[in-house]
Amino acid sequence: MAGVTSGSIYALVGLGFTVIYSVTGIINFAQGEFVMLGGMISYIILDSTGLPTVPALLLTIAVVATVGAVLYLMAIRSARKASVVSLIIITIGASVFIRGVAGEIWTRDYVRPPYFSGDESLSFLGAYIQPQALWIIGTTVAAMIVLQVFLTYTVMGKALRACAINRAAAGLVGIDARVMALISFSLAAAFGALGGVVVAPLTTTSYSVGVMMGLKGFVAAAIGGFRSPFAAFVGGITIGIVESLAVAIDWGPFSSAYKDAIALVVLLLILLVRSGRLAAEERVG
Amino acid sequence: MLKVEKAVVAYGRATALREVSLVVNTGEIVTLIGANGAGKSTLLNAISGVVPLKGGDIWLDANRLSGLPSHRTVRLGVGYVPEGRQIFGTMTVMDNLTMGSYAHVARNWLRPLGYAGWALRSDTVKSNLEMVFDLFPVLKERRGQQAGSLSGGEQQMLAIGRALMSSPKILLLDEPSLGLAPNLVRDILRLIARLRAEGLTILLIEQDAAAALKIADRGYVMERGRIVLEGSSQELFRNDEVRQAYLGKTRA
Repeated sequence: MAGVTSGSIYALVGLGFTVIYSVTGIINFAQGEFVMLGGMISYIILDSTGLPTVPALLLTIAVVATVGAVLYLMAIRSARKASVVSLIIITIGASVFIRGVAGEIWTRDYVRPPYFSGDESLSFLGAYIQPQALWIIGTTVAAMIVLQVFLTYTVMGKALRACAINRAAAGLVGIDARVMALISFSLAAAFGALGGVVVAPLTTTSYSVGVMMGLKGFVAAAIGGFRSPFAAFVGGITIGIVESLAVAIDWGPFSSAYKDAIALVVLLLILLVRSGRLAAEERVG
Repeated sequence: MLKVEKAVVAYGRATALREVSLVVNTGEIVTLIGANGAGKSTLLNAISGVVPLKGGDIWLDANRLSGLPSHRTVRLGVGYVPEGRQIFGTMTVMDNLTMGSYAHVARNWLRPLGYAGWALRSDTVKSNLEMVFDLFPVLKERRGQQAGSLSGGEQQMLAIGRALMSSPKILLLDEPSLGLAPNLVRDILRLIARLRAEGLTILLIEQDAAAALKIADRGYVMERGRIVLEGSSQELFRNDEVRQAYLGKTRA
């Protein structure tokens, strides 16, 4: 269950990677920072304004989605003639920048926003489970469904897909690829923030959690081949379960101390297998 | 009326169009004749805004097209069916046509957020869809099918249908019959004549120059990025150089 819970968060982060990559060809290494911003900003809003939980969380997500849009407009769009590789490096720079600013203006301690609905464990099939874990899983599933419905049934969602399939042809029917790129960055930021908002009460958060979150979300998306949101979802859950199994076995190389290394090993394997394919599919931003 | 004035296009140091000027009057079918690499496709790319102009000007009626990217020229009435069709293969036929109407739907920025079915109910889009299904009944039959699973001819119909969904004033067609069986080629050419009869203006590139001249009013011959000859279809048909270079052994 712990695996599914943390896997859900990786899935949300992976969704962000997938959305941006499929629409623009860019791998956004600032994706993990959206998770950090979600957790930190929700903590600050809840701690200092006394807003009720739901509006505070929605406000947080809106703020982070705006950060995503600003990141695109200032860092990516203004470098429009740069190659995809340079744009990816720009996102790495942006993540360092966001993390640095967060560490300067906010506390460097770990903070914990309140649970959504108390911290009394629920008994479920003989196991105890935190209600927040249910919030995390439920939110991720709901977000997945909303995204899928958006991409499948709305004109805008279809336009995003059209842009992912063939950017030149999308231009010919009147779709502005740059507007679609802006939307994909905002969407990815919103999904990352959602992950940060729901996970922070359970795991606590700090200005620096984005690195690991980004890494694991990247692995989740890579398992899914950056293809579809659903594939990223499956990838995220897979990483989460493998990690928690390692912690459960807790022997030799499967020690819980190496928990975070597992995602890296999976990443290495994926890169070995897929690097040729990804390079072949490289598209211009 | 489409008016191209001294258009220059360069890819890096290679100049692909050298001061090309041409006119397509409203309601005309005009064809571009020339060998591969003569600049025909580049000219269509330049008109629709896929490649930028280095010099010159392009006008469609009162609107200046030069300098605009392709998603803007669509809104001004340029419908472009590029070589290779460029349909959205992993989307359904219906979704492809819906995307064709994107230029209409996105006039109101909130409308794209709605359900795609609603967008198709607006008057313009609905009548365009009816016209496309009327021209290509097979697309109506296969509207739920993945576009990539259609036959080559059906994909070509879909590409043309998708362009028609934007209510173009002028249709730019780049080798619409490429890779099609001879009877389908005839169907496509007949269709182009029918589109003109319904008031469309058409600029056509066609490998089979003789077939193209049969349905066209006028033609331009291009060589190495320049227009070297222009005239009515009959004139070009009778021109010895044209017959030797592009019409092969076809009868006059």
